[in-house]
Amino acid sequence: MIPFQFVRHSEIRKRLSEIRPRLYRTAFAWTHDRALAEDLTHETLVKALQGARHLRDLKALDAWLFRIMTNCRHDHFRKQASTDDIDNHELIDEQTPETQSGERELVRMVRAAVQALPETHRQTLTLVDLEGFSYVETASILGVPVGTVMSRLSRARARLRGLLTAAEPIAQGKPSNPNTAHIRRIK
Amino acid sequence: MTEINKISDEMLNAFIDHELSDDDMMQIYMAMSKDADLRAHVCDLRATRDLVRSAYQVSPLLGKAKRLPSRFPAWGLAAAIASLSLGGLLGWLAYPVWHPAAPSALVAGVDDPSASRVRVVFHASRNDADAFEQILDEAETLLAAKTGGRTANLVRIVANGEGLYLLSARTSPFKDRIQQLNAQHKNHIVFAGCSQTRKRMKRERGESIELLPEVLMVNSGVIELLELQEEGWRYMPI
Repeated sequence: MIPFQFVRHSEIRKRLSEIRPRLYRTAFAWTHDRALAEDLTHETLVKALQGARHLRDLKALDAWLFRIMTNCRHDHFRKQASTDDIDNHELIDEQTPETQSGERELVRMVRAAVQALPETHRQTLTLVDLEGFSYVETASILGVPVGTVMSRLSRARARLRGLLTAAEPIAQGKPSNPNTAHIRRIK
Repeated sequence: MTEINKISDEMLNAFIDHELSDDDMMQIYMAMSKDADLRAHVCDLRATRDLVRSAYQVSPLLGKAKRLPSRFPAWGLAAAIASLSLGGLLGWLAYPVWHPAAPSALVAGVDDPSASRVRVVFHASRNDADAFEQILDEAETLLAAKTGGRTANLVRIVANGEGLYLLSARTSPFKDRIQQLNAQHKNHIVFAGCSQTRKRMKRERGESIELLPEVLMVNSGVIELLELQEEGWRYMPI
């Protein structure tokens, strides 16, 4: 009989290979830099490979990997911070072959708008919208309270709408009104 | 006051993400039924979310990991299956107790004539000369031990991160030993360096690392490691 540990280790290796494109997609959405996205994906897999035996619950593998990648991104951002304030980036007009069709143009515009978001908002938005993590999982990955995830997400989408409609001011999202109803329960 | 002003944006976002309780969902549905502006606002939120999803549906140019060209003769299906089951199992059991400074649980038993060929990939991710020397010792022992007197064991040593310095033509303290091992066991040992690490060091530190002539370059060290493990190689990190 094959011991459970061996089966589990094989499963982790298989899942790491499968999840690589998703890690890369999110890393790219965070950085909009292909080389940096590859580096982050790579670093995440190295760390996961080294620490895989510490993972107790395979169901938590996805969230665990994205948490590792968040930390890798944080480390990298810290190194960059003195020379490059990523939150001050303006919309960047990337002239690529993608701009040749209308659909590709829309993709380019949306990516540029996502890139213009503050780093923390961009991470929250992509974990929820691209990876489909719940608010609770996203909070755990980023190491912040659920309320912070909710406010970041709300502001991120509001700002995106503003950037994409262009005619409206960037921060046109309706701010939270202290007198309005608050969420009582999160699933 | 219209319905839209009574509900916060956070709540509406949680609504489109299905994060609310059933009661709260119902309250918002009721409010939407009475307020066209609220319906339009919710529609905008959904459209924004969907645009983000569609913009990243296809990842831009994920590099395909390039595999090492094989320097080993092909072996039969039976050997591969034996290696995957017995070799992989022993590798996994040895992994938690293995330490470069300790006598290796891996090497012990290699001379057992009934054992299958052993395939081991060592992973050097730190610039630790002492640990790397232990790896070379282990590799040499493995390569010297011919399992069953017929098939030689196989070793790969993959370096990435700071470990790449151990295979650098300028900084490696093991140039002669690597050359000697490679010459002596040419068909059974491969030294591989990670191209991603090399590019990153060039970009971030301005360092241009030239690898030893015996070292093969792979696109991604970690993908090489994953794929070898997938094929049943035992994984030994330092």
